[in-house]
Amino acid sequence: MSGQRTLTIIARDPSVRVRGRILRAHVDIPADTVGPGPRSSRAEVIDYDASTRTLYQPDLNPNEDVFAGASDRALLSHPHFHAQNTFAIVTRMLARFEQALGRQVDWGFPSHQIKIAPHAFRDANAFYSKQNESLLFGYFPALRGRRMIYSCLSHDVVAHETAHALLDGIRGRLVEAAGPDQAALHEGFADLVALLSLFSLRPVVDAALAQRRSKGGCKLTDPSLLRVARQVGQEIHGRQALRKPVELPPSRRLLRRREFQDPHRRGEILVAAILRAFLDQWSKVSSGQTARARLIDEGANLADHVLTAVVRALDYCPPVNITFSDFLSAILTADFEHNGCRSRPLRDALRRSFHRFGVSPVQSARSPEPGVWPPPAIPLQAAVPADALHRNKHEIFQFLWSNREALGWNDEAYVTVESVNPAKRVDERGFHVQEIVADYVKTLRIRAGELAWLTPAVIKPAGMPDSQMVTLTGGAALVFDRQSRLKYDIRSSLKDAAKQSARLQYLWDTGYFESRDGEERER
Amino acid sequence: MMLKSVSVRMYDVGWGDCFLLRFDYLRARARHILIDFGTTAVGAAEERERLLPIAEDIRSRCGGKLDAVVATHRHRDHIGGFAGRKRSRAPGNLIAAMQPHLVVQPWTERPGAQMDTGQCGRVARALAGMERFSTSVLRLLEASPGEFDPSRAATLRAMLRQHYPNRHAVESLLTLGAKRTYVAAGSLSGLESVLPGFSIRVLGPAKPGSVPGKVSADPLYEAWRKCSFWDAEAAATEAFSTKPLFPGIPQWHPAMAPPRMRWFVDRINRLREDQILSLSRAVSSAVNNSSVVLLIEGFGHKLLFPGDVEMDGWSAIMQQAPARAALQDITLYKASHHGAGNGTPRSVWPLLRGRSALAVDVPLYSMVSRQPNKYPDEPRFLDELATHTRMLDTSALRREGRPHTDIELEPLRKPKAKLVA
Repeated sequence: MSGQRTLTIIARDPSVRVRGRILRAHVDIPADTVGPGPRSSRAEVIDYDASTRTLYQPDLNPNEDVFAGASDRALLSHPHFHAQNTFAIVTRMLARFEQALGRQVDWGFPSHQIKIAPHAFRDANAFYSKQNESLLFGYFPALRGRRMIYSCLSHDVVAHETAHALLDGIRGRLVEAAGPDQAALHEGFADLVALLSLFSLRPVVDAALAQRRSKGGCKLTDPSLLRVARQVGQEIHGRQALRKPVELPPSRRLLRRREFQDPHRRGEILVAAILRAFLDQWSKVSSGQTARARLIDEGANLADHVLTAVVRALDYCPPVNITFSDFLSAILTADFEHNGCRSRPLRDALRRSFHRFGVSPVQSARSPEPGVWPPPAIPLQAAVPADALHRNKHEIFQFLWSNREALGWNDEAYVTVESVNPAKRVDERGFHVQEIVADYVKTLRIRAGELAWLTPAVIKPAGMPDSQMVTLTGGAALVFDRQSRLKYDIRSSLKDAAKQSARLQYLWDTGYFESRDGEERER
Repeated sequence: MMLKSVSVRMYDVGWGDCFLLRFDYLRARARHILIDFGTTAVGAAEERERLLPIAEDIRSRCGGKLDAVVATHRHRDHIGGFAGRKRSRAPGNLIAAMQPHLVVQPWTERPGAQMDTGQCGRVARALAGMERFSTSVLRLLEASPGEFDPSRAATLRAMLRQHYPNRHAVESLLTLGAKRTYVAAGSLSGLESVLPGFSIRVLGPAKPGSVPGKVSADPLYEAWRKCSFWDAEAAATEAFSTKPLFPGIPQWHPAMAPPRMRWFVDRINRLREDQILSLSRAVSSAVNNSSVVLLIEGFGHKLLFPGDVEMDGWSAIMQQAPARAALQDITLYKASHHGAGNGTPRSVWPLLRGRSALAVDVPLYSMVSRQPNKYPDEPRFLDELATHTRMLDTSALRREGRPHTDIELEPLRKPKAKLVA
């Protein structure tokens, strides 16, 4: 039996047409056992519409790509195709993440199967719902004309929401309120994954380049290719896309501007910095290249490379209080670990691009290359072999406990090891890179009046009562090699007074402590 | 001109706000300002029954002439009473007959605001989209009563009826008064010429982009950012249909769904209701944050009338140092949003209650127009008000069978107290 199956999807969204027909792509997904729904071991389509209280029966034969040659009308009007489209994109994204991380990825909820509702409600909205273990896609009437707009038919929207779900499974604490960068990271990451994954859909890039060439424009910087949610944006905002990150002019002041405190807008800075580095490199590697097929191949390879580094970066991030600077260092480290000197030009482009947006990576004299996380100051090794280390969280805690002085623990903090995973990845040379990736989180709950007693002291936001209970959080990602040696201790320290003060100020400014909900969370 | 006294009369309108301010001068006529006149009593008859005696009392107290009207924001519980009706003895008609010289409203109500280019126009259009959305949700509830969980439907209906439909009142205010001003934070209200010896500060609502600092400081940021979103939401709700989207495809009755799907079906139904509730709350908050926030200052007193402003509106005020300084040492506070916790954030309250902390001779007065147990966090804030202020509460009026209560303030001869930190 073949290891994969091929399904037809809408390549971008129904508004993107070539020679008058909706642009499609045929994508490979893992040949998991698929039942009616479609339903596999990791995802299930349940086509329930809460607005009309309608539950559609699924296609009984989802293993065949019956829509391979279907008309546009059939694609738009048949809910079984909508189910197939969303299922294929979600499954493909999951496989892509697992390939990059070198391990199976859990969802951010107990179930093994995420539920997908392609027509969940009549609403100009789509989102990932952790509580409902699902991806929910709305539909709404076009503002002009009698058409219906289905968000489940937009590749960007489906990929974006799937990335949220995957990110929640890998780094569940990123949804916690901590600072403007952390809130923006979820949105920026999801957009980035949605856009970079487009480059693996050859018809999309081909159509965009062909259209651009006919207009006599620059081939590689076609903005239409790098805009998020074109059709939904056109219908909701009357403009070309919901977000256009690559068209954001670089400036070191953006991060301080008012509108970029909003998570979606701030996320655009992250996306812009990475996509500009990608375009810069694409231009260089395809310099002098005129054959469109070659250009597309170069673009697809490079996008794949960047996407892999971005996804792998999740293993090299602290689990809490992440900033853009941390994430940049994580990308540089992931790429450095797996691609070494060969990929140095891309990393240089990333450093330059982020610098133009006012983001600098970690600076340490011990770093093997600028911006890459430094190795631990004191070499540490777990007492058990690697295959025992990843067996359970107690082994990691044992390692932390044995080395608590070297790791500079605050004895009063509450510590939990949240995950431990073995990762088997393949680098560019084809060699296996085996690592064990674990993360732990520390929390310290005290009264605001006690913040000044900490060493170093954390600054209490002006106006916060001394009796207000606050929770400081810290933690680290630990990366071990196959000999159980600690390669990286990537932490957001509980003792980083500047970061803790900034976090509390952000929570205070944004009303976190105002709501009952905030109080309960703090309790 | 010397001031004899200021009195503030708070009327029990049920769920709503109505305050009549009377400024008595020595050797000059008294001035009268009406701040809000609304209730959410169901039905025109009940509304008339409740508001008519109040309108008559206002007429009698001000001698048939109002100097100014302040309509803080467009919610029915604040301006519903201004609605003109065919019958001459309608409460709105009585108020109109008092020929207010000036009507003050938020800048979002200015006719033509929706046509403005830039962020202000976007906010005005978003507020219009929100109103369309709310109206269509109400219609949806009425057209398909079985579609919602009964208790949630009741919550939603109560919340939306609190605000809409309110078209008559909005239209009546467009023609009320000889002069109308549409104010924003920092602008002149026109009340300066009405009240000799007083300075009037407009602290809100802010215009988009006018507040320095973080985006969270802009109370209507979400509204302008999502301007078109509300149009789409309104269109989606207006086009509501119970007919299946794909009628030709075989369906299961949800109750007969395969057992593993039933959990999901129930959850999504609930989620949909949550979404509509949450959007409706967002609409309510956005309109509350468009409230005119007035600080009337003079003769040693500072009277703060913040409408229903919530957290985002307060953030905008607190971002501005002069406004923050002006809020110190107030002598009367009309509790925002009927005493709900979100009306007076915990980060703002220590500043507002500054006078009580100084233990000066003149205490801090507070007035709360509310219905008991309306908001879950209300008791906590009411405890604060009772502890730190001399609180007047419409619930107490109701128990005592009184239609209104007054606070009389004499000019303070002492130098103004200063708040330390």
